[in-house]
Amino acid sequence: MLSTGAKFAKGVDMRVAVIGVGLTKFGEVWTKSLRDIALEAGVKAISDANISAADIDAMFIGNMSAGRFSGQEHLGALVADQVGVSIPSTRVEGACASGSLALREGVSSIMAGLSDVVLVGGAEKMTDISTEYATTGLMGAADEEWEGFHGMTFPGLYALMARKHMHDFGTTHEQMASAAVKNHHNATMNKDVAQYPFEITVDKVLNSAMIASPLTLLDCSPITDGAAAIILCREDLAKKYCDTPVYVTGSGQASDTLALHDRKSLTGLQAAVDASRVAYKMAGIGVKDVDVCEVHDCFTIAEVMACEDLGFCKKGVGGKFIEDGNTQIGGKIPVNTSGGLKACGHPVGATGIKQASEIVLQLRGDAGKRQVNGAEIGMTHNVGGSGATCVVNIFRR
Amino acid sequence: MLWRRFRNKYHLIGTYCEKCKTGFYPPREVCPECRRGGKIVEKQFSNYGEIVTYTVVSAPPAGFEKGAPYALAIVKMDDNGPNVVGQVVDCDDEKLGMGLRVETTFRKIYEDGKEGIVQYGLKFMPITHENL
Ligand SMILES: CC(C)(COP(=O)(O)OP(=O)(O)OC[C@H]1O[C@@H](n2cnc3c(N)ncnc32)[C@H](O)[C@@H]1OP(=O)(O)O)[C@@H](O)C(=O)NCCC(=O)NCCS
Ligand SMILES: [Zn+2]
Repeated sequence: MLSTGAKFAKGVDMRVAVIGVGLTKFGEVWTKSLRDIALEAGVKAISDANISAADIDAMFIGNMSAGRFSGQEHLGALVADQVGVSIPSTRVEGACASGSLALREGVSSIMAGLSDVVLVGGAEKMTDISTEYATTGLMGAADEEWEGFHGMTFPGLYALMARKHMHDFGTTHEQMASAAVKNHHNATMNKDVAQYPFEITVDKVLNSAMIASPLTLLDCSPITDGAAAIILCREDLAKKYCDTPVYVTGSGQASDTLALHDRKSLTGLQAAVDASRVAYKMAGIGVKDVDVCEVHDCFTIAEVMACEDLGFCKKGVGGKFIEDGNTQIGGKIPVNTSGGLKACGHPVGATGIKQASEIVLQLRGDAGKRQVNGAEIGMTHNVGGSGATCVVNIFRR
Repeated sequence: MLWRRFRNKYHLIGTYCEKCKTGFYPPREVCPECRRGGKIVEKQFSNYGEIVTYTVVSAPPAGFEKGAPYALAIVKMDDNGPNVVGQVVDCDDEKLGMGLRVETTFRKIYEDGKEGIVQYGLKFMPITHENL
């Protein structure tokens, strides 16, 4: 099965620029509601882009489960209301990949000629309910009828993949843990946003509370409140607003079965392989050209599989690749400079936009202490559910 | 609306594409490989199989707190059957492992909090005596 983007990939000239980014502090933000954080991120992005709300033609808002987490649906209208505009505003949902899907919709809208300037946002408020209810809510991203029914959880699904990866390829828990250690370290250089900007060790990961064996608490991304926004505009208008625009040059999206047990492989995400191949082709680059990447490390094993699926290393050796330091800042291909989902936090619908913001900061040279020197091409890898949706977006300065 | 799926959930009944000889559980009405060219029939799969991968869940979702920690596995059913996910019960921790032979067993899955409805379905347990 070929993902549908493939036949269009060659010869697509995207002509879309990112001219502004905005993020809220991620964490348990119990003094602010969903609308507060969504507005905060939007306003920050609008100021960063040096535009006014009146310049925006359309908005796309990534959100997974506001209905379940906060009792609020109709997020498109909610955000338009908060920003005080009456333009088209649409919620986009694809579980934890909602943010990147919203970004793709924004790009499409500009390419189709429907809009010149678009605000793409993502927001999720997850800490107003107990962990048990959040766990149940998150399972809405998996197969409710055939996985959730049996008491399956998200950590559980990734634990099933981790165990199989360890069995088939000899991947060790220490290797997986090294991804979390690196991401927590990167988060210490992203204090304004990151939920957990503190150092941890491999030992700490191995000895923290068991969540779904073999995965422990420190193998897991947390439950997070947070919002992110970026401003997209037509390439030829970008310089009018901004001296350092970043361009979207490739985008791939692919789907797979909703339920994990239905897949041919349990040790990688085919949708990630497919989406990345389309994105590389569209951007006219190869994997070696990528200077910095944000991957969807909802669990440590997910970062291991991402390195393999995206082609950073060969199938089966992702654990060693990370343990050897290849994905640190200064390594072969720095991964998750923001701290990743693990340490920066994972407000599900906002994650894809946060990833894009981090890449934009890196390509502008604005990433401060965590700057990857000379980064020109960056990529985001955002996964919905246990791999049923995957979006890969490529950016260049 | 789980009652719609009772037949499948109680008996490991799924569907099968006679053209490409692939089993589907949960049942599919369209074969992803053969599309409209496939021939889908209902099929009762073997109740025996082998653990492909497993986990023990200590942080349960709402409604499963009482049973935690509990084991969950993906089991490859015999006779070229499909992969099926379910809890593994009546199994010592030392015994639980990759490749363990298991059979289905009809059990209570959970109690629906709001209405107190008890949901039943299939779980797995180690095979007690295998008839070869
Ligand atoms: C792993 C998980 C179950 C832990 O939740 P929990 O048991 O309720 O944890 P608590 O909130 O009680 O936190 C316990 C402590 O660990 C910290 N903590 C919680 N999650 C953490 C994490 N993922 N990483 C690091 N520290 C974490 C808390 O800050 C708290 O610290 P404190 O005692 O100093 O205040 C929960 O974070 C989770 O479900 N994560 C996965 C989310 C997910 O599936 N996302 C979708 C993926 S696609
Ligand atoms: Zn078929």
